Amino acid sequence: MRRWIDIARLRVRSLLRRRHVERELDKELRFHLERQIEEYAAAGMPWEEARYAALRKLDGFTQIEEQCRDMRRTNWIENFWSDLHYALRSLGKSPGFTAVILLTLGLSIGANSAIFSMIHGVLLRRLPYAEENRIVRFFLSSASYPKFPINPFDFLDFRARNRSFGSMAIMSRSDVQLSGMGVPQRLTGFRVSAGYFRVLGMRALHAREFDTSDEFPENNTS
Amino acid sequence: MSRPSDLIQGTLDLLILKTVSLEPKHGWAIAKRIEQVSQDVLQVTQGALYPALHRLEQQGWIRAEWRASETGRDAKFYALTRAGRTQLERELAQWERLSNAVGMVIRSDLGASRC
Repeated sequence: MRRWIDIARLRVRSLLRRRHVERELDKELRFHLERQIEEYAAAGMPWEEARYAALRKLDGFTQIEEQCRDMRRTNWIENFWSDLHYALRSLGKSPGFTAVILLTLGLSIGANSAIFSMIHGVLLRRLPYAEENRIVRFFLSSASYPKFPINPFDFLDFRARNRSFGSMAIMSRSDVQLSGMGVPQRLTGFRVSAGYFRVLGMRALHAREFDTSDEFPENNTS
Repeated sequence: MSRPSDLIQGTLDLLILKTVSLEPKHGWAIAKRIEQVSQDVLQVTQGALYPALHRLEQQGWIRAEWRASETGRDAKFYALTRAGRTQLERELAQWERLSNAVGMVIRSDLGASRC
């Protein structure tokens, strides 16, 4: 529609050709003022007196200009830039205050991103396993211990009677020490039952995974 | 002298649109024309006129153009756009409705209000 093109054109013009638009506004009001002076002079007033009377009648040249500017509705953009400049200048004048603000912002943004990366890692990110939405972890649950670890003999019973899960495995923390010539090193390790890697959807690249027969020490012949 | 608040809100827009609908005019001529036609009852101050002109221009109802005035100096002439003409008709209809309604209320029979 023609009207919207007109409106957009005027807005862009007010923004990009501000000085030109300002000059036009000044010229427009000045034309009015001159006509008023002429009218008073034609009525017999001395020229100087006519000028004062006309200025009085105009009642605040700059105020009218400001109201006309408001009508252009780009004032807020112009004001935004001058506000921004003013803010930067004031910050430059009080470096202590600026430093405190920057430090506060820095610390809070840092803390926030730390917290959210933790939440992302622990709660939001998917586990790096195939069909991770089908993997569950068991605990024995009672009123006093909502998450009590399962003991290995119970696990054997559960596994023997399992009809609900594709595969079951158990693991227990079992760190080991690596010692030799230097300072002994602690290595983090887990003992796992047969089927552990199958539960996680991993396949051995070479040879085979442990199966249940490997769980008995007397079978460890190899 | 009539201040903008003396006019009912929106009336100045209607007066301006009507005045420039006949032919393009600059601000001074618009003010003079309104004064003359209303036999000096309506006095439009510059403080009300120019912001109104700029608002109407920004809304796309009137379009401005610099031209030589009758005195030879350049002046900003305002002309009604096509959208402005529709707007003028809308405002005229609204004004008729409003003034009729006000007329009905203030001219209603006093005898009826006695009971």
